Amino acid sequence: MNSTRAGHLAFVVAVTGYCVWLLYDTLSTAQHDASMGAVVAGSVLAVVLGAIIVVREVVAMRLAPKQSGAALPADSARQGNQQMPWLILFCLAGYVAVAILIGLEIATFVSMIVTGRLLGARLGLGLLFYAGATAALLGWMLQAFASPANPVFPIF
Amino acid sequence: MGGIVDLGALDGAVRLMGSEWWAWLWIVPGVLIGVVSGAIPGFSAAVAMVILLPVTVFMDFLSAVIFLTSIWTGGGFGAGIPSILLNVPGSPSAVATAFDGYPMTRDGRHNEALGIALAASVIGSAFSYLILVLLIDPIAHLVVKMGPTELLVVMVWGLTLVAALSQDGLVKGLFAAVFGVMLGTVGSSLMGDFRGTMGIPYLMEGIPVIPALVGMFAISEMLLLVSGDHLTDRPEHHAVGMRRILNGVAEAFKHPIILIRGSMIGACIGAVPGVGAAIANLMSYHATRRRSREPESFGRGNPQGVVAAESANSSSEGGSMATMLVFGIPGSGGTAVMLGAFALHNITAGPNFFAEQKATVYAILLANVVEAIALLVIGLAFVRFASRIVRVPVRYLVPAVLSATIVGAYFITENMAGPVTVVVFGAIGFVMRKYGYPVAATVIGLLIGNKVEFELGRSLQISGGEISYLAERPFTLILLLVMLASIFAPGAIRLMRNFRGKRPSDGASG
Repeated sequence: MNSTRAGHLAFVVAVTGYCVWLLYDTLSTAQHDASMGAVVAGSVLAVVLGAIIVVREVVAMRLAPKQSGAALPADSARQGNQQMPWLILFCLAGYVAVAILIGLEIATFVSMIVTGRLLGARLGLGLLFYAGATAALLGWMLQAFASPANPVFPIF
Repeated sequence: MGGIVDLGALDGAVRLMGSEWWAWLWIVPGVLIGVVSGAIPGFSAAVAMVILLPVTVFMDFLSAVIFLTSIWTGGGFGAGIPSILLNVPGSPSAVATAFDGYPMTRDGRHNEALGIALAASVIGSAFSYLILVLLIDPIAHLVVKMGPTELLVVMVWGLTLVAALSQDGLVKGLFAAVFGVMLGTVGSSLMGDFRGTMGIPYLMEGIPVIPALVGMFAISEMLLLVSGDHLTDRPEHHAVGMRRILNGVAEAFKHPIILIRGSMIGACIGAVPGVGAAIANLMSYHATRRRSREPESFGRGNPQGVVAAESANSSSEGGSMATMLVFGIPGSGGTAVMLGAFALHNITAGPNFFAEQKATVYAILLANVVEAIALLVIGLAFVRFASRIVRVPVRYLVPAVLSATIVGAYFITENMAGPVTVVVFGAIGFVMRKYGYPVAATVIGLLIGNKVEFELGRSLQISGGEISYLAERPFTLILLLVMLASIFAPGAIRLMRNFRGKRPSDGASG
């Protein structure tokens, strides 16, 4: 099975499943009909549209020619490129986690250096200054306009 | 009520503006603040207006209103700048600007795209306020006649339009829009029932829309950019020049019909409270694409798309302002802040204010025309500065944008709910774009999901679930017919053309 098509199928099933779960949650908690109309209509539409997309994708998978042969060196390079967005996303999640623990300014400084390095920036004075200046500017804006200036527990 | 301008009040407005000349001095700082704040995704002009609202206590009424409307005018254009340069709309009303503006940037035509957006914004804004001077009464009265069924149709229309604009087919577009509406219903319903909160307290008020918008557009775009060196990889595309920006300004004037149509759509749809500004730009874009001889070039960097979106986006401010001035109903975040400024000066916007202070109302509308002209000059200077972003290597651009979005989201929610929302919706947006789903449809759905639910509930209550109720609402029927025609007419015309084109050849081959 083509991994792109499998990923697409998983995404459609996840979204449709979420809509069905939202319908279940609404029906089990809502005490007024007015709280159900849009959710019921939306869930039905999501299931119908999701089913159409799944059927189309399955048909396309069956019609597509089967891939064979050993992996080429270029394939592994492409795979590395494909993994980079997920790595950056992982760093972003880490940035938020660090911000909760030690504050947004320091987390910003660390995140900029780590993300910059991942994307190929050299770890020199330039990157350190750039990250420091951005973190200082954002920190100043936080102090001036946000209240509280940094996340405090409870975080939400 | 009437379609003819009240000349006495207009004369009074001119005298008022002459006697309180110092109020004009607030236009330049206001527009500049608006452009800069609008250009920062998440930190919209409305946020800047909220921050600066206390300052207006020390101003007289006209100065305060002119200062705030200047910020709003500048913000309308400013939101289009990150749309064009980074595919990150500064606000929901700038979503359609990115459809063609960003492909123009990737194609090295960022100078022209920004010039077009600026000219279209200036024309759209000035034109809509001039229309309002003439037609403020009829437009406002038409809007107040819109009941829940009409509002529901307008919202569904907006959703279907954005779904129909999907490059990968209507089914995917609708699926994304429905997903957005479902996300929009999360939290407390109007009757106080909680749905889909998963026990997380911060979801009780619903998913924060702006952090979700920033995540879906900005984070997903940055993740897609990481494989390149620059926004546009060809070095000759990195040039920044005033001449090319001015060429863009001139290009916008080559499409007067699109400018006027966009401004009319923006002024009328923008007057619809709550959803007008977010939908007007999509309607104008769709109308322009439908009438184009090359509809397939839209979404690939067609300047007409930028003209249509930006003219409607800016003129929708005028429509929203009309509803606020005449009925005291805030149609957007900006007008809600303006109502606050009115209250700070012990003035209540609404029918009484409109009847008794008509000269002030006209003065506010005329001041907005002047603000639009000021925007042209300030915008040109700012655009030249902002367009240099194409020269920044991705390895420096991406970390800075990611940090700005996280901190910007924290500004909005003032707790970690915003940053967490950015990351979660960034991942969802990235996956959606990877598989060809329009994130714009989900964002618009999320934005109006709870409003759809509200109007659907009201419609069902009033009609008692009887479809025959529609016969009593001719305006709803007209809107429904126009909606269906706008969705299905292009496909039907294409089918007919194909059918006619095939018949002679079939006959020849047979």
